[in-house]
Amino acid sequence: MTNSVLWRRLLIGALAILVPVGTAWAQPKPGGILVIGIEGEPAAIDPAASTSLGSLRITRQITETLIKEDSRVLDTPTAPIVPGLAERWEVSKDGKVYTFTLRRNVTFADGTPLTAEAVKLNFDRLMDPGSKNYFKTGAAATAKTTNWVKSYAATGSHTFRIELKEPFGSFHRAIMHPSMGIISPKALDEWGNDQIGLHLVGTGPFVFKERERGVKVSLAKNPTYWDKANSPYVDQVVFRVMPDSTARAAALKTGEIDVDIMVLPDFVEDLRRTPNVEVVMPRTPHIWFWRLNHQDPLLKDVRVRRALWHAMDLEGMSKALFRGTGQAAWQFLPPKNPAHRATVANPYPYNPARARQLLKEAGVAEGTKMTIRVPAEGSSYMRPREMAEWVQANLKAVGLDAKVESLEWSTWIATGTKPLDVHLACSAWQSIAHDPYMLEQLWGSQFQPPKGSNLGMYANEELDKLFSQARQTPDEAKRLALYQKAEDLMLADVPAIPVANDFSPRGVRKNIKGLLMGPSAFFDLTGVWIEK
Amino acid sequence: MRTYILRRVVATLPVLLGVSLVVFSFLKLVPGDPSHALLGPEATPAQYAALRQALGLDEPIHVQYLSWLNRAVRGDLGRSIETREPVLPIIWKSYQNSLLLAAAAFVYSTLVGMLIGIVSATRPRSAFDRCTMLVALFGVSMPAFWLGIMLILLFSVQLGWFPVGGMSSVRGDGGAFDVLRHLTLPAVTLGTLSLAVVARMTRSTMLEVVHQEYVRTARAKGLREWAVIGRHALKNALLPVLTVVALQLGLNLGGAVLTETVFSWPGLGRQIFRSISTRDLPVLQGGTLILALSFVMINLAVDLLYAVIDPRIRYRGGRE
Repeated sequence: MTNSVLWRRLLIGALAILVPVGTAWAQPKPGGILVIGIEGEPAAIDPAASTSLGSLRITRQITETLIKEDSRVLDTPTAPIVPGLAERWEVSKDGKVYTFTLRRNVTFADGTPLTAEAVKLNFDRLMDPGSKNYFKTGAAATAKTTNWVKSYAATGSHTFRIELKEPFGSFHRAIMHPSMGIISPKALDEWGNDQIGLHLVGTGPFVFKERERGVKVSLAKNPTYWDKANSPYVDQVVFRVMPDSTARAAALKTGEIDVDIMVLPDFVEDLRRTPNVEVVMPRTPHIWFWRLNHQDPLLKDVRVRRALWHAMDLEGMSKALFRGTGQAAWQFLPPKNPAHRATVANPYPYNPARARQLLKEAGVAEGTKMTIRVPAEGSSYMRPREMAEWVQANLKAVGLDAKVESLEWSTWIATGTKPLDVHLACSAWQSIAHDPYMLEQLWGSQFQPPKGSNLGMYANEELDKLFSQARQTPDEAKRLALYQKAEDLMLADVPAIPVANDFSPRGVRKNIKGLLMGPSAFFDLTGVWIEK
Repeated sequence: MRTYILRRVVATLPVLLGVSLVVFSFLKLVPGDPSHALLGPEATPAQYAALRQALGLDEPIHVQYLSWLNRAVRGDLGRSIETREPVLPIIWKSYQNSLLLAAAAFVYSTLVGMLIGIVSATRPRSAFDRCTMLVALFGVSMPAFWLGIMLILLFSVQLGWFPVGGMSSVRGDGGAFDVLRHLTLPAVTLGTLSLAVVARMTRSTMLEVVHQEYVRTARAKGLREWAVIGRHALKNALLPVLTVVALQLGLNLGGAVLTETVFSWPGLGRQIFRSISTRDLPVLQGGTLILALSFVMINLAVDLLYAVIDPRIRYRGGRE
């Protein structure tokens, strides 16, 4: 036998042994406790009790919505919409009536069956002040969705019908928000709104186990989960509260936590170099932008607004401050939004000379004073102070004297309840950035405060018309095209200045398998298993 | 003496009332309210207003305070606005956690601090003295969060001797040894500042005392040095040190926010800090009241201890 024949046979023999063993190694192993380090204490573990991502990430493992996002699909422009508790749904021709057909043989974790009546009771909780478990806080928190609903009814044991006040092309995205998660009516009756947060019962892959304030929230695997193909492997998930980012990164390195949900840009390189740890960037839909105060005489001239955009060196800022955890943005729709177009160029690239020229044309004097407002910190806000100071330097270079005002978190949010009283204020949006309807919510004139969040008091009739058309179009392709047309208008008229998209870096230990974090603010833990 | 104690206990009530009023006023004066914390920045002004109304924040200020007070005097501290959990169990649990941490820091700082102070005082201006006083200077100047992070990076990440944070292991048994391991680094961090203060204080009071006539007499009588220092000098030097040590304990009970944050220690300081951030008034009131009560009790205990240590001090029921 020649050497080459011998080697070939040895190789084949080795492969014959190793490949089956190798694939056996890749088999998910059940069991274990997954520990996720989170940056803040969650609010009540009740989907309707707050709109904070921190709490909803947890409640989403326990309660499910009628339809949902499949957040495990990576590398897509946007997380696909898939059936949840409803196996299918139909929309009437006029776009006003949604009929959901619920899955059969689904039970809540306490054994009660999922029926259309159970869904109705959940809607009563949020919309019917006369109902037994009416939840005022929940009504306020879910208003963005429930305000569209004219009526709802259980039209069969497993059919649920919602009629809207007017056609709303984004309603299917609104109904899949985790705050609309369905809770067991039996549990609601037993515990009431005050205590359900410690006894949440849903249909989801995990059940609530315990909560220790300041320490953790623990969930256990739901042994009766209806989706057998997607049942969890791990026995428990513990969300551990670790407010300090350095300590959290250290805990990831030592293995005390398996996942660090929020990694600061400064730690990314170090974590990447750490054996047994990797950094993933789901690139959730996210947009950080400057709100402009359209009631201020300085910003009324579009040349001034365009000048401000030209003055900001956002690519430079991204390189200096984000270290690969974010990128400069020049569109209002973030990359993971279905209406985002990769082909749109920056209409006002960094050009201080051009900025000066435009300011001069508009008659803005050298040394004109401005105020920029940011929060001192906040999840989704990346590095607000440093970003503000960068822009302050950019503005100085074109002759504008900007002062930076940095506010404590709750004080910051309180300024969001009335029209802007400074020139520029930053804002960062995640939970609505997955749908182009966000453009109207932020810049439609009917959404000026108090009704909505158009704090800059921007009003553009042509834009409003496009928004209205798009909102009422049930055809998805037509709807997206209309929003893209709207965005073109916005790029010309500059109601705000887009600044950055956050990639949401997360740290994961290498022995954690199956954690697929797609372009969604939320994540799915059912496919996760721990390799010893 | 008994009358004195009773008077002191009764005097705590107006203190607690005053604290609750001040805390309430401050939180109402600051912009922002719980609706902002619960809904986050992406809600509409209409949503915030609806939630404010749902939470009863639209009622007149004095009505809000009085209804809280009405329930509080009956022992009902209400529910946390953020998580809807009853306040008393939350506060009590985190208070116990803070007590554990502060006690550990107390033991470490007092024992080691006094030892260093005594030895430095008996060898003034020696190499040991200069060295320890320099270390004491660092101890007072180093910020707690910096020291904490440094200890984590060295002892947890590099050496793996201690865990990074929390009070017990998530995956472990949570037994006493586990807690002790988790307690070590935060106690050292928290105690280092106190240690420095105690060391310097002990040193200066001992130096004062050591030059007194009765110490010279004791030495002349032929007593061993440790008896001179331990029985005669130390007792007299102890009073000011005791004051400092008690103050530090009180401060560490509620003021250990930075250490508790760095080490994810579920203590009262962190709880109070967070309740300010989320404008969670019931939790803030409960937390500050229990702290105020502790402080008052510690002060009383110290005053009583004075009488024990120094027989010349006597308390009477009347005016002192």
